[in-house]
Amino acid sequence: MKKQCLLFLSIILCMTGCGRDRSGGGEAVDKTRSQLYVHNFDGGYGHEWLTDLKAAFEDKYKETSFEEGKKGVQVLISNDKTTGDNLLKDIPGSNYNVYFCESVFYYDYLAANVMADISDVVNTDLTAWGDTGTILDKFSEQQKSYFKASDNKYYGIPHYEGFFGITYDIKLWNDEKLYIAADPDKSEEKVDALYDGDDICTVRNLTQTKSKGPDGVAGTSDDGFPATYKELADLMVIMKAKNVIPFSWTGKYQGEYNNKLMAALTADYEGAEQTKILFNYEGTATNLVESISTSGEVTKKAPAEITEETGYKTFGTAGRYYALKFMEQIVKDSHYYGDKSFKNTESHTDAQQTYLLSNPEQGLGKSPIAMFPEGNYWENEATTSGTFEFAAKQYGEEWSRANRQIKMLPFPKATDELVGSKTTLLSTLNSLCFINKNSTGVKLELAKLFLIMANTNESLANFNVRTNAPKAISYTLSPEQYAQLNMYGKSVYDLYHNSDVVQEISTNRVYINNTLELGMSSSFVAKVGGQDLNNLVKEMCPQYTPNSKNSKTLFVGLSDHFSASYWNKFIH
Amino acid sequence: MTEVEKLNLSFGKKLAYKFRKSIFEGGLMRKLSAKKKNIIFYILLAALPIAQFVIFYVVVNFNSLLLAFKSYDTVTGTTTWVGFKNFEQVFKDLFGNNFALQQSWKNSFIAYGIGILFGVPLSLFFSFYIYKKYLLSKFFKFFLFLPSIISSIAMIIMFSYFAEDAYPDLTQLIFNLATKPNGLLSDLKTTLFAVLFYTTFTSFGTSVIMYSSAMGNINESLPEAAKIDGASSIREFFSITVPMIWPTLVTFLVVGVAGIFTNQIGLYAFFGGSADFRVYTFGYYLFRNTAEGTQADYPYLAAMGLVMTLFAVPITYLFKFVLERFGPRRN
Repeated sequence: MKKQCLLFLSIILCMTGCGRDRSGGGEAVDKTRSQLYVHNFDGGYGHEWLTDLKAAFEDKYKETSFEEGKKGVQVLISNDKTTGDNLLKDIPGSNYNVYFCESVFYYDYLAANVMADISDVVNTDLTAWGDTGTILDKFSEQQKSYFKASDNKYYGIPHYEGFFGITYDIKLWNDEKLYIAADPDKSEEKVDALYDGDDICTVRNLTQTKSKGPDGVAGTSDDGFPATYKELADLMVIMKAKNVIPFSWTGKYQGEYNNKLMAALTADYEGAEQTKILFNYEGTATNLVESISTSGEVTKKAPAEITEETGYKTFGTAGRYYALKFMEQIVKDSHYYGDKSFKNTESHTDAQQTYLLSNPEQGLGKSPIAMFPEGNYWENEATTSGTFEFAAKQYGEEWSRANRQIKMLPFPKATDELVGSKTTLLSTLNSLCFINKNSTGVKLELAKLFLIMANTNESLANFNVRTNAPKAISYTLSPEQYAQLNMYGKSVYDLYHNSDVVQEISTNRVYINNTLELGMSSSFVAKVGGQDLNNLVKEMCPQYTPNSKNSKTLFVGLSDHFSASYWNKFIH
Repeated sequence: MTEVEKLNLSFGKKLAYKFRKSIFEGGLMRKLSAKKKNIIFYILLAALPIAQFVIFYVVVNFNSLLLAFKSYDTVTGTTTWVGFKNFEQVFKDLFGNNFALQQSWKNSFIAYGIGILFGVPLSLFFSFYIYKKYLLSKFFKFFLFLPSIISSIAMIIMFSYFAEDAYPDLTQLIFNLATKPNGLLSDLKTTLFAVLFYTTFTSFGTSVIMYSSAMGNINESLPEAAKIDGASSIREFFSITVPMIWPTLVTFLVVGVAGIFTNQIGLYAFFGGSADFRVYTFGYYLFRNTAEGTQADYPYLAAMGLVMTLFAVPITYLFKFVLERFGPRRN
């Protein structure tokens, strides 16, 4: 009897490993309605937007019967942080019908054959949904090319965008009068003679005319902000004198984040078409560097054809040099970055807190931080971690998320000639929505309807309003929706819709099979003195590297590392 | 009417009744001997764990073995047989100009060496102290085992705060320095040292438990006789304790050899995928590239894993031979 009981228990225990995931995020299944299971990557952008979508979808079909004996639809959502390959291996056996995810390599998922054909979804006329055109019409040309599989079908829709930029503390700019004056002679401060001839001055009062900013146009939101790297360098001298810390970032992930920032700066310098060459290895490169003078002046080579065989030449493009130079001018003086910016204890959410609380906590002896380089999604992460809420409770409602005066603005330009050129943003999140291939019958029908609804202008706009983040396909906000955004959200929307956006996606075989080494942010590796250096910003920082290198040395090192001989391993 | 028909059961219940009767009441089970019944029971109990082992270890590793001879094209999603091409690239990188792997050679052997020179002797010392029940031995036992109980991420966070915040502050205070030194983890001069210190300290838990258990199995008459003969504790340690636990020690040392090629010394927990090349170990290189790479990277990494196995196997056997041949004897 004892053995029989033991055997029975063993069988039961074994069965616990079986069974399909019926997770619906804790919501009980309503048997009077048809169910649709949705999996959401609950990262920086959260899930409120999806809750809204669920409510709208259920309301739209509350009187429709999809199955006999049932009326209406119940959307059951599971939010977690599973992504990439971990998510991929779960999909075939899961009961989720629709996925919204991030850090997903589309072609890996295609090869694994886990996504349903949604060509009919992307080509559906959206008139019946209160929109115009089709979902495919909202794709950029780059997206149409990338997301169309080799069988000319579509299996995924780009979900949301994530790009690196610099957030400015507008309140600090106002309080400290950090705006650069249009007319230096009337300003109360001048930078000292070290910068003779090119001095900038900050305004005496906020009514004074400000400089035009990076867009080169007076009367726009970036007026008074540094237009060039040179103006930024001059401004940092002034900030130091005012006991303002110009920059701060995460110390624990500073290698990764600074590389992402440099990749974004590279793209902004290169422009959309030249940036695509850096990972498509096809086209005419016009910014290849011939030489760099001791004063940092770049002489370019004649335009050169880039092919897969000569892709290594793209590591000698001027954008990468200027990106290094941008970081060099920050880290060369320890007063220009926060004291936790290289500490392993400062995570990305800690860095957000450090930045957001630096201004209200000036009374506690802290120096305020002026600029914060991060992905545009950082504001959502800081909301989730409770930093805004804490700041509001501790220091008043003006520090809450709704009222906080922060903006993401265009990067300063590397040279005077580029002032006024359109900003180029590099989108890197690889975010995707698709339908699980094992969805059939009613589930498939509902999944398609849900995916269509998720990509109408109304849903795309609502996502933006909820998250302050742009969706990856084209949409517009109504004036009323735009008014709902806080200052940060408006600045992100304006920046995104006034910029050229390049997704770091490519079907080039060399790039796509070697993204670990050739990705825009992972390829900042320089060979100097026989050593490969992969933490280039730290290498330029005298505080941490006694014989620190300069941007020119590291730029030459990029080409030395990605030499023609090294490139052979990628193409053969 | 048969007995079953007399019971007037439904079809399902009739079936269950017949099954039960055949198995437990003179059917199959009654024909089997007690020994065979036991064997059947053990087989059924072990069937699932063995199946899991076969599927998730043997088959997976066999697939990895095959993967090492293929290449994967992300665009088409196809794998192609490429023979020894991956192995060729692995050897080029291991013995050529791949800086990260050059550093891995150095750091992996340093990590193992630190373990042998400091970790093992200190573990033995602490174990002996606990075994002899000297002053506060229970406290040390608890304290040394604590890192094994506490979540490793929590331990790493605590250590990071010590290394990055407490150490610079204390150093500046104690030595009255004008400027605060850099944290141990953020300064490349001390990064590897700090990480190795952490991994050595947190490795004591398991080894101390194992060694002190082995010491506990030593016949008490031996140390008593040694004490009577006037042997000191140190003499007892080297002449009795170590020889008696030598097989346990050999096991730890031999298993540690494979760790040269797999131990990432906690680097991923400390730095994610962004550790400086100059602190890389083989274990970190493999782990980081697998975690952050795509399927196109796996064939090369599979080949590297196999090559490291080829290195590790003879080194392991050689080490075992040397320790067993030249180590102290129990007699």
